Amino acid sequence: MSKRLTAACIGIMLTLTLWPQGLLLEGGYAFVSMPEWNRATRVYNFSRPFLTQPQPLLRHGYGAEFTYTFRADRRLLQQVGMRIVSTESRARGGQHVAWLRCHLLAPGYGLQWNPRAGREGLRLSVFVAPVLTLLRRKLNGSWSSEEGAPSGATGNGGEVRVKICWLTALSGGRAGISCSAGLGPALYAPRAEAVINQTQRLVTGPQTVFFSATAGLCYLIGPAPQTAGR
Amino acid sequence: MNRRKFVSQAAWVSAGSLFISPLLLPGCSAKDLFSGMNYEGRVLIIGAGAAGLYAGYLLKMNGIDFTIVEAGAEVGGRLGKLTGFADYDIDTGAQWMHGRHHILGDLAAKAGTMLTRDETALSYWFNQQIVDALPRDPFIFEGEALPDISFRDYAHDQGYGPEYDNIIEAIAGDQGAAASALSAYWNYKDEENWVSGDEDYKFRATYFDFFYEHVAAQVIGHVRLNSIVSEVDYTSDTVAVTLSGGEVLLADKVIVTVPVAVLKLEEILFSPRLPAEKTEAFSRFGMGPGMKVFLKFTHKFYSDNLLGGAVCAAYIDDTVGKVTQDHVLMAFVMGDQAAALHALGSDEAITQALLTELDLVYNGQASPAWLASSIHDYTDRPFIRGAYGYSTVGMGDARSVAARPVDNKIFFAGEAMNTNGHHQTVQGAVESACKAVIDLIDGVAP
Ligand SMILES: Cc1cc2nc3c(=O)[nH]c(=O)nc-3n(C[C@H](O)[C@H](O)[C@H](O)COP(=O)(O)OP(=O)(O)OC[C@H]3O[C@@H](n4cnc5c(N)ncnc54)[C@H](O)[C@@H]3O)c2cc1C
Repeated sequence: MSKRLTAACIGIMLTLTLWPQGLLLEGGYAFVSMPEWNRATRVYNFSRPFLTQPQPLLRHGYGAEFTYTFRADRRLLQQVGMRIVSTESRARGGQHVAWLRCHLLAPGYGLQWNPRAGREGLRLSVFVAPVLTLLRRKLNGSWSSEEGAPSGATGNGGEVRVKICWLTALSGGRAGISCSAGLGPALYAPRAEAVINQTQRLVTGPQTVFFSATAGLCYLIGPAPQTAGR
Repeated sequence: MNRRKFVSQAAWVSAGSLFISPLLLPGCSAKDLFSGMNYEGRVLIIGAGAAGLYAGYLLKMNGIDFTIVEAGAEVGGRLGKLTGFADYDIDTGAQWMHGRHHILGDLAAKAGTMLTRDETALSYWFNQQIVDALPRDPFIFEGEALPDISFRDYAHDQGYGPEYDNIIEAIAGDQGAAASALSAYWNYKDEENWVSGDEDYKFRATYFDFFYEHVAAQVIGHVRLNSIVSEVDYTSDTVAVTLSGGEVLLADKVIVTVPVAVLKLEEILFSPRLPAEKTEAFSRFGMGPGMKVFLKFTHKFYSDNLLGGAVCAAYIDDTVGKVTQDHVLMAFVMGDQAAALHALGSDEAITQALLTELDLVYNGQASPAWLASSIHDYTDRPFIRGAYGYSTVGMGDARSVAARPVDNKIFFAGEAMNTNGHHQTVQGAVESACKAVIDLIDGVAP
């Protein structure tokens, strides 16, 4: 079994290195929106009129993505990627400070349409990805779990995402801009309300649809183009 | 297409994708909670306990017209304080803040309120002696596999003999119930949702003072005391609330926060009658006898916490977390034990029964050291009618049915209506008030 596995791994690695592949690195602004979580946050603020700074919705943050492209010289390409998004928000009222942080991890598989079959210009990708989230809360400097209250809520779901990327030559590689928008029909995070609003099943259901979008810069690392390009 | 043109088009496409997609999401296009809320109706809140006062506070902060009618001569309901008995003020109702991960915990943090974590250890009166640990762990009431039978029956089924009966009584008493009446399964199902944290906190002053200063004081001008509601008529669009003296108050929406025992006893008549499923749900709640007896002594001869007495299953040093020179022991009596003490009929008899038990436990030290008692009996207290609501055998979904609004006009709040595991607490009452106000606003949102 392990011999077969090793042989398969070597095979995959050989294929990857023989083909003209590419590694796309992206980073920039990220926006996420989970309507049920937003509702829990609004309820949190509504039920605490004493907050001088209400909890902003967990929407804005930063994201990074690594996409490995097989056969970067084709018009229609296969990709695998890993996306990480982190958002944060903070509420305040006198000595009360509540931090919320959400990390989202999406290891995806995608198809890319590369009209010029080269390493520059416009690329359009469609990704499907399982999504894992970790929501955390820190209250007055300490993680809630220190006193037995839930400090974290994990979530899982899936998303479909469309990405547009435009690349141009830059010393040693290709650089450009990219943006993406994704929609997840269901993110199952039954403890999210407990972390956000300190209540369980009072105002939200266990799952939420979710939307995410990113905009930023990208950089492509890979061998020189063979069939097309400059 | 030249490069410049492409860049500008790509930018427009990406900007469009960022802003159009959220609009397509149902959760974003649905009525956006509270935004643009401009309710001009009039709300009447029945009861000025924690739930009623917090509901009023939220309405006030949102500029909504409201009045709170309270049957008693004071606000607070099951939050109350006793002054002059000792050299510190004593909470006669709620005393501990259970966990601090909730609205009131946040409020206390915001206000910088002095809290002390109660870390006192438990000891037990077991087989006629005081022990720090029991041969078997009596805290066995957790898990999906629990049957829908009483705490007492479950403990017996698990092989706990009669020597554990008073310990089990103390555990059930914490839920305001007799061990013979509290459902092992439904109590667990309620507690499963508990997310406030495990620690208990005591106020340097009192829970009552904290609540009064930060919540009640904000709405006190809207409270009508000594106003007993006898009837709520919601036949027409405007709800008519009749007071015992015959005065009729009109409102567009009513939030009922009276204890569930008051609803069970039908001390308020609803016209038309509340739906049968609702009155049936009220009847499935337990809310029984309960009292706090404060015993003042010349010196401390007792443990911080002693569970397992036959007259009172839980004796607790009341001075923990207080700045005091006095020695006050609190007898926390619930369920059958409270019924038995209540039946004695006088404060003297109740004090005597407790001192007799304490003399037995502490080798005759109690009676000679006793100075005074103060008894706070909720058993048949007008407008309260018991300690707090608990889940009986066969409880089922009674809590959520009871808490549902009727006709988008009558909303229910109060500790027993808390459906998220924090019932029987002040924070639970407050959360139920938030839910009722949210339901009310959601119902009127455009
Ligand atoms: C002995 C005891 C100890 C407790 N200890 C704790 C504790 O340590 N920590 C904790 O968190 N909780 C504790 N609790 C529970 C806590 O006190 C309650 O959960 C909470 O105060 C209930 O608030 P409420 O608003 O739901 O009800 P209430 O406080 O009972 O308010 C209801 C109000 O409705 C009024 N009313 C009733 N009928 C009418 C009518 N017909 N017309 C007009 N008004 C009416 C009543 O007078 C009352 O003021 C304790 C309770 C008891 C009894």
